[in-house]
Amino acid sequence: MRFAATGRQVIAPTHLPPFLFTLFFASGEGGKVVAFPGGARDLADLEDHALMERLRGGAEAAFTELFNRWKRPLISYFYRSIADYQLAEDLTLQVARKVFQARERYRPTARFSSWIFQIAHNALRDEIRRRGRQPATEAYIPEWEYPESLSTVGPDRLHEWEDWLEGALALLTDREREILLLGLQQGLSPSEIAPILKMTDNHVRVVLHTARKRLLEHWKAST
Amino acid sequence: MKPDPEQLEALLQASIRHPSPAFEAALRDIPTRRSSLLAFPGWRAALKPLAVAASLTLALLLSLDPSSSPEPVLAGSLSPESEWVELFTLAEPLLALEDLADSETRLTLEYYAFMP
Repeated sequence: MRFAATGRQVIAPTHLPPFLFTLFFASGEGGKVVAFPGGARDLADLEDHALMERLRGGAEAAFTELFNRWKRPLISYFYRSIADYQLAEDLTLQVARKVFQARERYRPTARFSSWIFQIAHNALRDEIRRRGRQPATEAYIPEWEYPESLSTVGPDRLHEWEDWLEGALALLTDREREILLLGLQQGLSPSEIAPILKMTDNHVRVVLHTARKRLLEHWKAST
Repeated sequence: MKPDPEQLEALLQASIRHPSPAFEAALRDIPTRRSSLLAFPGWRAALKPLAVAASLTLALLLSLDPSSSPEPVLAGSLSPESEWVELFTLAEPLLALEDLADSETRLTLEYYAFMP
């Protein structure tokens, strides 16, 4: 028998009643991989949904590839949200564990980014509910990779701007900050953000607009 | 000097350059930290028919000797065997909630799922 989505081929009797079929799998025979095409290079070409399918089929290299793509966006999202780098990494690991645990029940019904940020949002919400948004007492300043448009700005100036941005983000409400980060930092559309935050598309648009406006007002007010 | 509005948006789009070595080690560890049962891909799907078969067998035994029937898990108008099947059917969406709902929503949904 062959699992078409994963390319895994297992030798299994096809006419067993469900109970015996279960015993066959539980015995470990069903997990024997006869053929598994594709190495690390092939995985790099796959979409996120396809990597989840591979992961479901037992290819742990797919998990590594998936998180090579998502670890930096997730840490950045958490760090801008809570201003605590250690906690940002811890929450990213929490998301990684949940993705791994959910590999068998994952269904590609939406964009992968919406799904993974749904998990990230829940982890963040639980954390904020637990401890509030308290920047770390021993601030570790991470190294950032900036877009090309900031390549002419010197490191000291960028450092200064980082401080300013952290202060400006702290002035927003949790919801405004989260919508701003999901929209501007992660590039999710209002219709992708809406189900994550259990809001309507239009409500997301309004809050995004308000958050931008408040950030610019803070910008105008600061010297 | 502060960033202009376009630089501000570009600043927001910046991404962490390198996670810490401790983070990388913990991430590598995730797929390997499992028991041998959990290491079997598809174990949950494989166990589900076993659980349903076990519950039906139990229901059959209980129907043969109603005096030995324990308190039903789900109170309601369903027969005990249907309740067992329903319980196992509910298990899958409740597991999915682990990923897709925060703790407060999860507790509320679990409450309504099991409410008599």
